[in-house]
Amino acid sequence: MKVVVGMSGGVDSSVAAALLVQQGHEVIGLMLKLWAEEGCRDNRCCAPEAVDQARSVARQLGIPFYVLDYKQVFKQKVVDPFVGTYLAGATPNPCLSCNRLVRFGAMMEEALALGADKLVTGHYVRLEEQAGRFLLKKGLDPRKDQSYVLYQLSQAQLARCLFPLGGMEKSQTRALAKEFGLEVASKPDSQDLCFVGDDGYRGFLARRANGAFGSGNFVDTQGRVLGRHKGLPLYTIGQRKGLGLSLPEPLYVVRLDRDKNQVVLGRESAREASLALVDQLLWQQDPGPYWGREVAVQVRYNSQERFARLEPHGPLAKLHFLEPVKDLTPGQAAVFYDGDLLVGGGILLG
Amino acid sequence: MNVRVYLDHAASTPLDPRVLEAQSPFFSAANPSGIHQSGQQAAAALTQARQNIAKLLAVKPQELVFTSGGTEANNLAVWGLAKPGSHMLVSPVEHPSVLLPLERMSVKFGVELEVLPVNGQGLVDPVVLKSRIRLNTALVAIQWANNETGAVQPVTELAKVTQKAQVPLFCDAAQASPSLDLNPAQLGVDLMSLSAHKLHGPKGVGLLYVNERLKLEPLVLGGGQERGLRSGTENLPGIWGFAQALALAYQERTKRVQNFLALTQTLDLALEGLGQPVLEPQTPVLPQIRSYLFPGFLAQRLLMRLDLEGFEVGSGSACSVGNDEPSPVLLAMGLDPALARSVLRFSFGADSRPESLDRLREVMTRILRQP
Repeated sequence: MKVVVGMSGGVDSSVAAALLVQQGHEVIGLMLKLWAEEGCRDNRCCAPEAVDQARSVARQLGIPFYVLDYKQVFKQKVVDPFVGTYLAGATPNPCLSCNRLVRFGAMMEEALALGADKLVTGHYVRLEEQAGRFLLKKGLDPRKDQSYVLYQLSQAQLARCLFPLGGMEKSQTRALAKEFGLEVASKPDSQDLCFVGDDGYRGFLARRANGAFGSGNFVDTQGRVLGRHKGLPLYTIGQRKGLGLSLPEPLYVVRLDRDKNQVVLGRESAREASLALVDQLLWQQDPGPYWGREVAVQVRYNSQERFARLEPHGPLAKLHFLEPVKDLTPGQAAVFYDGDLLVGGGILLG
Repeated sequence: MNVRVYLDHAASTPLDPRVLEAQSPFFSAANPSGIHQSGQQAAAALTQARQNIAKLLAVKPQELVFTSGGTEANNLAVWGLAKPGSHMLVSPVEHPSVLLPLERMSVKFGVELEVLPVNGQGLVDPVVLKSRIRLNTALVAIQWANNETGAVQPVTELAKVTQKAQVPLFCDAAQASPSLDLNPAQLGVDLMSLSAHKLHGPKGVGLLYVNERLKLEPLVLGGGQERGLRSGTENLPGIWGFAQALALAYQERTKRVQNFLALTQTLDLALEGLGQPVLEPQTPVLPQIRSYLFPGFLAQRLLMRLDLEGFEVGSGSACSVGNDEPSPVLLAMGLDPALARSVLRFSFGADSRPESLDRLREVMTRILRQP
């Protein structure tokens, strides 16, 4: 079989490539050069060191490796909508659209055009075929599972995917890297967005908006004014520090009210919610059997699972959490699981 | 794995085994500055290499400054003549190692940098050059031939203009050297840079010819080698290899150029109807470089697919990976950015053979059929 491996220079994609080479497949390594803000550092997904690292791994494995410039595509399909959503008062996760449109979109098209049967990545997820359907399951290593960021992939995309690390523990991957003689440093997983500079997404957004964040009022849950804020995009749900207020008791950001341009602050108890509405639903499984049932829900990447009853609500889904959940953040994805099986997901509404 | 066909000689050429052989005694040479006999021997070899090159280029040995390559030679030419408050003229189709130092200098030293217009083939009109030269013009920088298209500038006519105006003319001749007889002093070119690895010599060595009437400021200071213009222990094996590579290029020029012509002819046939030559047919062009447009396709993708089929070609300048910005050279020639992104450069060396292109038409046809 002919495969294209999306290589990042990191240990996971390097081991994935090595495994496919070991299995005797024809392997081509690809990396996409993605956009990063001008004048700041390179995009962290494809910095020069990462390119060098991936290229030397490819050399070692004896496979060709190419870097393609996808800066404009990434900017248009991921960064611009991210900025738009943020400025509209929600907190999007750009990795979701990047995976759907760029990594498993544009890169998949490149792979198919090269005549490849599969696109291989080092994600920790399992893919199983059952009666012509592709089931996306959590990676076996619970600390490494990355299915959350892939819930938006279509069946057509999954049909062309191969995730050789899904059944492995991270420690096994490291051991394999050693066995293959791959000298790749395992980079710590960055929580930062790949395309923003060292001052993080707030500085990035401020520059994108040309400083046009409207300042407005901090209010409490009863609507009493507590002070002035510097613009909604600068605050996140659950934030307590850095509000610039002196308050008699600790208050947290519990809501960003776009219509009134208000940052709503509340006590610890106000952070909790038992209900959530989910929009833009995408299903990996037929949702039919799951309506009215309890599912496991992840409300942000790498977060602990919560249990909730899934109810239809017009075109939306309504989640009734069994225990209250803190800091639900509009714009983030809620992804539903049945055990290890990814059922579907959508975007949390405010 | 396919047989590899290397068609990117404008980026770099493989070392001629005869050059390597000539170099080998000098890898263990002493420092030519040494007073002792080993040093004397090294110094004599350096002098010999310098004299040999000077003879080939019809210049004086003391007019040659050896550098770490073409880029350093270009930087030395530009920075060496920097005069605060002066005016400098440059073509927009220069290599970044000429353009970027000039741009930096204009910011740092208050030099007024003026970019000359070029025609659709990237060539400077001598009449236009004449009209742009001012009393305070300190340098005119126009390459001998272009690295992306192979277009050859009307150097003789340009030099007549600068000679008459008594303004130094600097020509980057790195790409021109494999096929043209370069005689800067005769033509009135006052500075000229060369790079050894473009003509089957070693990487890491280049030179700048500087007319002895000109006074240059050095870029690299230290022990005062190269008459103070380029400090640092001389790269004797590199310089000796450079001399040998240049000698071979001159000796074998007729044969090599004939081979280049046969290659370009074969290439034109192979790509007929598949792509369009970037340059118009009458344009003076180096015989070893051919650039083609493939409208509707992205060069980065074509390069990858050709490589997987065994054909190693270039697109624009080879300086950065994963960068699909359209080439400034092609934009300056008036190409639309989308079209500029579709350009592939095929370039040949003395080791290229027309038979190696046998599969090219079939492969290219197949590639262009894919989405």
